[in-house]
Amino acid sequence: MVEFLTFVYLFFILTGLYLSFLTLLLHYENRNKLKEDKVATRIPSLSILIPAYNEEDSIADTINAVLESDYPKDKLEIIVINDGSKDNTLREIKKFGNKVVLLDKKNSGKADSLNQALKIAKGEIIGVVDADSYPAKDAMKHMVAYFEEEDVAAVTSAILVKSRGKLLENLQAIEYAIIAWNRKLLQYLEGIYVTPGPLSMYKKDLILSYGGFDTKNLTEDIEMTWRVLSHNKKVRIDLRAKCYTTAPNKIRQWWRQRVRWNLGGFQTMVKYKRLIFNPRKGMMGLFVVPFFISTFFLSLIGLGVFFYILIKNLVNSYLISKYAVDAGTELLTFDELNLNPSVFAFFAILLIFLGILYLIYSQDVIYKNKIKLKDWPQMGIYLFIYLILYPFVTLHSLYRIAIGKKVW
Amino acid sequence: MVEVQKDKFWKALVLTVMVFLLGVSLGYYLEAGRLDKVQKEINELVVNWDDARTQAAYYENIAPEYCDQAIQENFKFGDRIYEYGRTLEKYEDSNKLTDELKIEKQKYTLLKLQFFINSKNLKEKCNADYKFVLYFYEDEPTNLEVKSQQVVIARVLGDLKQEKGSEIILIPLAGDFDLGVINMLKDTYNVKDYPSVVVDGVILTGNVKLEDLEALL
Repeated sequence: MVEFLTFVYLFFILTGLYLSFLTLLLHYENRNKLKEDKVATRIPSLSILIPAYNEEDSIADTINAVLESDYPKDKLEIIVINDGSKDNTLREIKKFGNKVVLLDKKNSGKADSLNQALKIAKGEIIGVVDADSYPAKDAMKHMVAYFEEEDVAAVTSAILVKSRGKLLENLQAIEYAIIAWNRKLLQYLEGIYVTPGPLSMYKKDLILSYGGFDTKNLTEDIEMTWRVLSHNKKVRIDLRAKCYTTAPNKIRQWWRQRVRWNLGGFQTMVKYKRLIFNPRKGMMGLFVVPFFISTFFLSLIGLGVFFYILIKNLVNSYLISKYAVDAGTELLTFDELNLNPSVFAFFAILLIFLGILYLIYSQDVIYKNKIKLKDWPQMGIYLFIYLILYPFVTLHSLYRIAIGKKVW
Repeated sequence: MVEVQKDKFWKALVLTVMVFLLGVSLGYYLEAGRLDKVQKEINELVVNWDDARTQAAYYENIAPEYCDQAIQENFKFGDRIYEYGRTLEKYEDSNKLTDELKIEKQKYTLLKLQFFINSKNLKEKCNADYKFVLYFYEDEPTNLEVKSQQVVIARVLGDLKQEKGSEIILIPLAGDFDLGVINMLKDTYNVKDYPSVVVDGVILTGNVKLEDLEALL
């Protein structure tokens, strides 16, 4: 009998191949228009909302980055929300005087801060900028052009890592480029499922009519995007619009951030699960929700298999070592090395090759960099170590979900 | 305006199915190639075996003065069948889509048993002083403890074989193969658990040390 696990592996291989080919096909057939040269025919009024909680180190630079943008000053309003910071954030904001509108309030979370700012914002378009992120000078002007398209309610940017140097930052720089590239490709399926906090824009009247940001969700940016899609509106990304954000440089911070993303994603998925396969909701019902729900269940199965094999091999190795020591024989022998390839070896090579193509294309599109020989060790670490951390993060997230601890 | 490129879903599906089927076919081809190799090797072993057995019969019945030569030939066959067993194990580990190797493994086990009987006959007829080490293992162990003990015992027995050379005849047998002759042997030596090593009638079960085996030889 062919083992049950063989079927599980083959199913995962099939899924992996499908998603890889889908992405690469989207890239190949749209390669010449990934960086569309869209120019706004009319510059709308724009209110940039910067919610800040304990951001004394970065808030000034963030405000300066927005102030230095090439967006016409008469059309630009900057609202900085001090969300009850306990450090010197308020003092830093006050240094900007009347260049910004200050909203000083008790701590109530990011979503509520944005909702309060929405009430006083005058702009036709709302831009959200995280207080540790720095939009490029031309980013906002590029983005507003997309609102001229019919039914576009949200536009996001290419979020990139601000400082590089440490290994974790460099790995995230690779990852953020892949994410931005992927997001652009998802646009061709009307499947952009998040307009991330560092820099995204929304039509103000629409999000007000939707009731503003969800204060109960850990990732209000994912939730808002799903809400936009559920109203049959469209989301766009402009890869020319770059926003540099402070990525965690310690594994603990990185871990917390990823768990939060997972929990917020899960909350959103649960909230919108009823839309699955609803053709009236367009690609939201036919692609985004089914994709998320199936990915969630596949991750559960994948995690089960991953940890089953991991634990089994660890226990096996431990027992073999223990018995080998007891029996006074070698701990390892080359005789047992099996170099006969199995069918999985073919697929593993193919999937690694597709993974490398992913890396090459994403870095090329986002950074306009051909990967050099010296970059490959980090690419290798990204593919074979960094990505292996994800099942553990997912496991932690599932644990948090299981115990009902979805607050941060 | 951006058109939803729904055609990509189908194109990706077609491409995936093609590549997947190609990969699986390659896998089958590779496994069929291994099976072919194994079958050829088994056929060669059968010929070698018939030769060794005929030689033994000849020496036993017609020319007893050639006993030493008969024993040497038998050992050569023993070494070959032992090495072949290791290759077969590795092939079986790598074959994920087909399980035809199982039948070949059973044929191989029967060949080992015939070799065991022939070696026993030769020992009696030629008054040889080698000893038998019968190793009963579970072919597909589900218990991790048994599995890891078997890995270690295989190493210990490998060491023993290297150390003792022609002083022992090592016969590993998958005890859970449903073959009448194996069941008979298990009854004879009272083998109830795996792994078990029987050295000249004495049974050791569980994690066996090299020195325990050496003490029995």
